[in-house]
Amino acid sequence: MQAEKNPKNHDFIDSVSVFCEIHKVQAYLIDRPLGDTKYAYEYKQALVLLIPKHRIVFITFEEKNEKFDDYVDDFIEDLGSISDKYRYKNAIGRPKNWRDDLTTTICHNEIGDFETFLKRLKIENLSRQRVCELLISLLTGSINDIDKVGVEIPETLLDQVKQKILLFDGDQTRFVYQQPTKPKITIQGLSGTGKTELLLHKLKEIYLAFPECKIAFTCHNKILADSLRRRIPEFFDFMKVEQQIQWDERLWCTHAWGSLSDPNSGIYRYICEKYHIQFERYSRYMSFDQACRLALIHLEKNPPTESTFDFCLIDESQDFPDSFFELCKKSTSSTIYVAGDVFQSIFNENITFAIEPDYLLTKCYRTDPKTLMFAHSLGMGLFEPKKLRWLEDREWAACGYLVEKDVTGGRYELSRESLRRFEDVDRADVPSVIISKTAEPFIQGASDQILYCINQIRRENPTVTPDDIGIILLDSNDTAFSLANTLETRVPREIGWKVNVAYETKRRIKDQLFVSNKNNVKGLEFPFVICVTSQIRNSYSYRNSVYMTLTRSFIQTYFVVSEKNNLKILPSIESGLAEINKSGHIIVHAPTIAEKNLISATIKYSADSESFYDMTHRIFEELSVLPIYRENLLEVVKKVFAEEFEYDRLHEVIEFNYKIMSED
Amino acid sequence: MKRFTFQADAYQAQWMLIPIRSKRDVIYLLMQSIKIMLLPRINTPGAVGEMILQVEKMNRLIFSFEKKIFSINFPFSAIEDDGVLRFRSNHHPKIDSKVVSEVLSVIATDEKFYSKEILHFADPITEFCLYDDDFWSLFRELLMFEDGYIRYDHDEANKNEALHPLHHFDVFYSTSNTFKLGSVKPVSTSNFLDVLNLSTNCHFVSPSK
Repeated sequence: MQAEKNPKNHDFIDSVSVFCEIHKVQAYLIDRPLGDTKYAYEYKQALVLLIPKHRIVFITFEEKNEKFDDYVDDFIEDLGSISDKYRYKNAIGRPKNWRDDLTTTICHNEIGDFETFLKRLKIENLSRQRVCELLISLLTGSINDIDKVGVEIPETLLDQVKQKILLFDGDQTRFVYQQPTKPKITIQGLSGTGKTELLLHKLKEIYLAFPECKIAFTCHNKILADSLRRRIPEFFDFMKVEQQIQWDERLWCTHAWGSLSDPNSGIYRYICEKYHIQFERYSRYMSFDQACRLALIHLEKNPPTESTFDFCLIDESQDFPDSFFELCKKSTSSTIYVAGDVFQSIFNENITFAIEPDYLLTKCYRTDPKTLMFAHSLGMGLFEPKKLRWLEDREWAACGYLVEKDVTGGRYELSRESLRRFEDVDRADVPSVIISKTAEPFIQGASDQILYCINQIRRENPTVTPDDIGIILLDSNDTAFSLANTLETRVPREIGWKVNVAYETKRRIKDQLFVSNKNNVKGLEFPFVICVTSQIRNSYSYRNSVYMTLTRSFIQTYFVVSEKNNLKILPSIESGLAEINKSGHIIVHAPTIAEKNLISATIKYSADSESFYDMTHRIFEELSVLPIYRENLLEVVKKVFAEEFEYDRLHEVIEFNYKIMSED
Repeated sequence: MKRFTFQADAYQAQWMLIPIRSKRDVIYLLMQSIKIMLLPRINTPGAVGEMILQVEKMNRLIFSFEKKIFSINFPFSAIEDDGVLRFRSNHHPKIDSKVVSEVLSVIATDEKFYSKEILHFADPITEFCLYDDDFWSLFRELLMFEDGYIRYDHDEANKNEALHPLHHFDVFYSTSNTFKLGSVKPVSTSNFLDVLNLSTNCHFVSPSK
């Protein structure tokens, strides 16, 4: 809904929204095209009702009159020019080609029963339905790339999914077009709900609406920030924004931290520059939380006289400590928009479920709901004897789950609503996740299995290209790197596709098979994803990555995993998946109270925000390690743990080595 | 003398035969080659050439294709252990797939590699050093090592009597440095290796007639 309520129309608006809620119909009521402020009309007594697969209806709340006719004419003329602007015209034709059969006008009191009215509006012809959907996408500012989606009805599953016309839903539309009302607006959504896309739309709206404003757009991950920075000009071009982007004058798009060399290299870095705060660089001894806290202390003592930014857009907010949001808020004059995936932070002790987001996106448009369900299950260890995480009923709901449980509350059946994204694509016989077990040795077995999966995808989808598949290696040990090398040799040889090892090239290359690790795939998506791991580990960061990577696919995810290393847990994971594929339900037993306590105690114990040094130091204290041994022990654990460290393993390694050292 | 031979298929030949114009190309070639050498050796159907690692007094990588044979210095030690090759250098104890990928990522983008700002170049290196104390030393070694580039060409298309003999060696790669040495006869891989081999008799240069 993006129209003003008034005494004449409010009954109608309310009844439409109730109807749509009950019948799960996606509908929009607008009074002008969204996405461009230049379209405005004098006539205020009309609304336009947009429902996919139904004719576009102009409704007047007076008797039909000349003014209303003018309004309709102007509106359609403007729609024609928007269609021209985004180059839809060649595909869908001029207004005269669609005005008669895809639009209609009516006086409000002639509508009568809404359900019967809708039946009258239904468009039966599939290709006309598609044109109508394209018109709706133009009117709601949810612009699709017409060269990609096209007007022809796609035939294969792969093409259907690729050429699906994307439309914002109500929540998304409201987020993009509503004016800021408070200093911090949060938007929560699962992987694949289109958060980044929405932030880009929001950025465009702000950039155009406030010509003098300064905007920061950031996320934690450097690679993702680089790709965002590349996406912005492409997106602005695509949205036909005529203004130039003034980098580092009006718009900063970098990762959050930055480096000493360049004040514009990070948001925190820039804030430090602006307020003369000492910049702290990343090290084993300095976490981002500490750095932000120090900056806040500085600002507390020396309150800033002017703001650094007017707006701040923060993506992947789950990667940040609260201190960073505080710092942004202190440095921003108007609003900070914070978008994140609540699920990726479920292992944080102070989980964000506690805070109600302003916008909650529960509908995942990228990933098949079944894939999402499996990814959640594996992320939380739901099918394993020792669960890593359990959600309360309202938290399940916040993640978009419908919860059914038996009388004792022990057995849970969790399911998700099916979505418009896939509603008319026939996928009944396509399992959304396939577990593929490898033989030993792992590198040989896994590369065999990956090649088998690629060939399987090629058999089932003859139009598939190397760009449609992403291979993501979840492990960060040398085996994973060797596996990528093996693929680099075997895939060209056996399939004839070139391989792009993206953690080396740092980009996507057209017509080459994408192979990368978990650090380089955030924000990317593929029709098919093959995730590979040798051992399903229990660390929270690992489980988060599993969830994040499994949900990168539109159609199907293959989970390639060593059989030998996961003998204990694989059978139950497989049967859990079979149930999801068969019935669309996660069926699981809730943990007992004792188990729940254990889960929360473990989570509390491994707070993410601690730096490596602090955690090591804490363990030294806990084990009462004598000071003379500490330096050597620190060297040892530095060698053992590369990028990843977790409390349990760290504790174990220190205890073991300390024992040996002190025995000598 | 230790000699390890690896068959190269048509896809590998594509990157092996990218013309070398700078030290960065040499580092790229060296790193990609190490990736192959680290893998368990498998048969290569449809081989179009081979890569040879020769380790004795001279330490070189040789790439041999139908009309082109060339070689670069191999600045690391190779140890064969149970059929698997391992590499180390004076500055880095273990050059494995991970380290190789890290080096490749540092040289991958022009943006970083040719940045005016030293710290833009240094940032990713510093990051790797957080977990691998020896990474920078290795990288410096790569920047500093003598590349030792020499190539044999059988070049029908451009032959021009003694100025550009049909069979010739090109020594060095940069335009102002490179020069040709003609050969009367075609040069086979074993001839080429013999030219480079310090333990066999020298080849002699004489003026063209």
